[in-house]
Amino acid sequence: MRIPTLIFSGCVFAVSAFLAVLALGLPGSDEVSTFIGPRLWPLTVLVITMLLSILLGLRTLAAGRNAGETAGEAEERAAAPKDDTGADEAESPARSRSRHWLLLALVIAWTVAMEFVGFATATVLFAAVATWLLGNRNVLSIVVTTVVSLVLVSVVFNELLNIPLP
Amino acid sequence: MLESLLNGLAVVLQPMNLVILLSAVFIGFVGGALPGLSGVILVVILLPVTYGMDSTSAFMLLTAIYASTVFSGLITSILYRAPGTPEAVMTSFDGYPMTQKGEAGKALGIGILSSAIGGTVGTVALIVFTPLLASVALQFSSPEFFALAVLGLTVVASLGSDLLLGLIGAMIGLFIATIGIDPVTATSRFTFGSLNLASGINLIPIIVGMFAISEVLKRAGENSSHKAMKEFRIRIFDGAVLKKIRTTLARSSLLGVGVGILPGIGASTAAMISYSEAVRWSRHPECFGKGEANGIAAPEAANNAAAMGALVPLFALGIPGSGTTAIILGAFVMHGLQPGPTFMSANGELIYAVFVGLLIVNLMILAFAKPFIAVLSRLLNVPYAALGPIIIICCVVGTYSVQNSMFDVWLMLGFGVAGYLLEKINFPLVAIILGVVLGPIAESEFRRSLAMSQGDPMLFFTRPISATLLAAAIGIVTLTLLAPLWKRHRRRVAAA
Amino acid sequence: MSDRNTFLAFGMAGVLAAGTLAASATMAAEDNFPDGNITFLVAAGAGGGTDNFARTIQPLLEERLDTTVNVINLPTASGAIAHQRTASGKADGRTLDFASSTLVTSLAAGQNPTGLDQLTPVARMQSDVMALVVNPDKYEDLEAFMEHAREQPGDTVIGGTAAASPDKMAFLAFQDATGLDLSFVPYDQEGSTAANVLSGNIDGMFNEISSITGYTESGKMKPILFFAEQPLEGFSEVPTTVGQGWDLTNGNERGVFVSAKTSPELVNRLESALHEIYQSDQYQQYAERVHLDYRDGWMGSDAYQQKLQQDLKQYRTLLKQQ
Repeated sequence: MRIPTLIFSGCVFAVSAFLAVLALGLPGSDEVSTFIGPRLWPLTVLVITMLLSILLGLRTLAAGRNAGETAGEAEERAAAPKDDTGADEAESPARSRSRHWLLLALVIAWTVAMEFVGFATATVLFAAVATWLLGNRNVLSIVVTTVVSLVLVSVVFNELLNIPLP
Repeated sequence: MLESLLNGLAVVLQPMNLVILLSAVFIGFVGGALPGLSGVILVVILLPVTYGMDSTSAFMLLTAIYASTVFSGLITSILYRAPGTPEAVMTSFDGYPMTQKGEAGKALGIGILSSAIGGTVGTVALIVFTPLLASVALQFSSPEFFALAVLGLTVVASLGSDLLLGLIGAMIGLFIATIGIDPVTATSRFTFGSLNLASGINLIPIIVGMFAISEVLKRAGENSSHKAMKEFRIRIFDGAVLKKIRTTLARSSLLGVGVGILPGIGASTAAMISYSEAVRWSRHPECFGKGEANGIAAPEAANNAAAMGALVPLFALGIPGSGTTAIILGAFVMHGLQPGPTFMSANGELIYAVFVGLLIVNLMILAFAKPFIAVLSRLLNVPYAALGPIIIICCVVGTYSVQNSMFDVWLMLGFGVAGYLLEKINFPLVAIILGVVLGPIAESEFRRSLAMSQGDPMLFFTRPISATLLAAAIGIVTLTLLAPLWKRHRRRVAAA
Repeated sequence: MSDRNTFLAFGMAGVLAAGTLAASATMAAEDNFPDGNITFLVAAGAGGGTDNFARTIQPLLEERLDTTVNVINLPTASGAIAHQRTASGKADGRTLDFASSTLVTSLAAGQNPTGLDQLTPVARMQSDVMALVVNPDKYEDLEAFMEHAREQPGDTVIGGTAAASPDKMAFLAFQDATGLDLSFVPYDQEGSTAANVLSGNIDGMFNEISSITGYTESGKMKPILFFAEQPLEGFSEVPTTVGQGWDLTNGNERGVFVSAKTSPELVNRLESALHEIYQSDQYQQYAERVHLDYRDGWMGSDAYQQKLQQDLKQYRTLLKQQ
């Protein structure tokens, strides 16, 4: 909990600082014909974000230091659901812990493939592999998913609604 | 008026028109339930089909689809945390935890009932008060919209989770909303020279990514994928639940109508404001976000009421209140009708038929939602291993179809990963959505207001409605900040 | 896909049969264009004026060229993506870009990287008249409006839709011609602009005549100036810019574009097909229904090209002076 939150506040700070520098380059109020220029609002938002992320970082550090006594309500709340998933993961084989990243990679591969081999082919492959990856080894159900997804997509989107597919 | 309504009823009860209404409700159900496919797109797609119909049937069809998509977005929102429409984002906030607790049937029941009640209240308001409400809506100009957006943003304080994270989320959302060409001066902001970013980041990729995709990723990481969801039975009329949510239903429906009639605000905002009010008025605000019945009732009653409310300025003034109504307005024109201040008096028969049609649609939602979801829930018996990929496919195709843009698909996947990671630190994702929805209203209307007043900020306080709204917002913020101090003080007093 | 098209084509066939059979027969004899499906890229969102325009043309062109037309809306970046894709696509005349004057206004504002040299206009088919509209409770006529604007410089607020739009250009051109000091507030939607005029929160708005007839007929809004050469039918008492001695006649125009690499023969082919459509009863009925019949919309490829160049130059100058 502590480390990810610190990473998060660091990232938010860095990105908002970078964007704030960009925002400084936008025309200010006196350079345009309107009363408030396009710079004021995003700049304000970004500066506040920077301040808030520092605050978050400090709070997380403080909460970590005296973790014993003032464990911070937020941390307690965050810890609760994490325990559940932790228990789940402990039971499962190592593969399933990284499975969501594999799935993500697969989705990305599918999206790229769509533009090369066409939507239908890519979708069939994706549905089949994704179902297998998610732990279903039953050939029949893989076939069913594939067929259902293809029919669903092509009938509902293409035929019924006339939405051009990617 | 009664006579006009009866005439309208006679028109609606013609077999052909009933068939049209039924099919419209069905199309709306399917379309609304698919993530990424919203009412706007459905109405656009069916527009050419309506050219062959007579005007009354055509508008019954379009408005019925519009009404039923707003409803059916809740189904996937509650079952998979994949909001079918932007209006249903808030519903997932309490609906999905309920499903996880194995109470999907209860959650859906509350959602259906609240939608039907909200929709009916909205329709009745539409029928009875249209001219009056329209003149109220005209009182709202830029300063009032700005004040409303500020009030909406204070919702962050009542979201129930970590305030600091909530604020950061809202700020991220507000920032995302500034990307693209500035609507007031046409300056490009943060587009990095990319045309894809020029008109900003659409709401659909954000919602679909952060909610639906991140949830699929999460479930893929867990090992629950072999488990199929439990069978459930939907109970729409549940005395105990009804007693619990009746106040919320009444408040949210009225609030929904009020927000819905304002041009350019829309049902999503109505759902958010109504949710926050439900938290604020609740005696157990800590239960929200964990499967609270009122947390489903509030946004659903409000978004359906608001959807009907958005028709008020359309019928009374020819001014569309939302994206979908803007397209319905275009359809009126293509049918040779002239929307405008004289529209209602000139086309009374058509309008009353549409009104009655909408009332019947709300009844149909109540009657057919259950069998429709029952069929859909067959899908639930499919193991998640098979369902996950199907959800992803729907998300990708739906997102693509909004603007025919592959860029949006990539954005959506990016937001999916971001949403997944943010959930790890228990980040209130909904705060980001809030910022994205309300940000453009707040910024542009603030600047427009100053343009109206030649730069005089007193405008916000001299106009009664904006002054009241801003005072309420300031009051809420002060209360939220002072509440912990007050509690500590009381504790100390009690201890002494 | 095919479902709806057959549905439409079927309906069309009944109405059109006699008129088009002869035409398409002679056409097919010329060469085998289009030899495949045609794609319309609509540089605007679904449901708006430009989209309605493209979708009206769709079945009519399908009928004439004996092909299938797919419509794709590309609203991103005021349609800049649609222009870009048209310009960089194959020059086989099968990708048509449906655009409004926003093409030129966004080009002038530097938001559209596809220049006029990369697109060839096939034809202009609509020319909507720009109007200055006020709330009659506030101003009786142009005279009263001008007087107020002259007496209180900067205090007169005019609304319009979007920041780099034909509305804005009309505002700048009007300000330039009259020498008045006015404020412009851009709204995101036409509806919001109209609501603010109706409620009297702003002094007036620039809008196309086709979208305000509902308000003017009810007497809740009043056009006090048209950007036109001569008084419009039904509005004989409303002054025109040319009548006032100002050379401003631009409104919002809608036309069809192809890639600049397309051969002149193909452009001619498309132009004559569109011209036939323009003259057809179906198209004229549509134009009348949506109030686009106040002035002749048709302009051929060459003339439109020249006009676009002029407009672009004028808009650039106006934006620079701003």
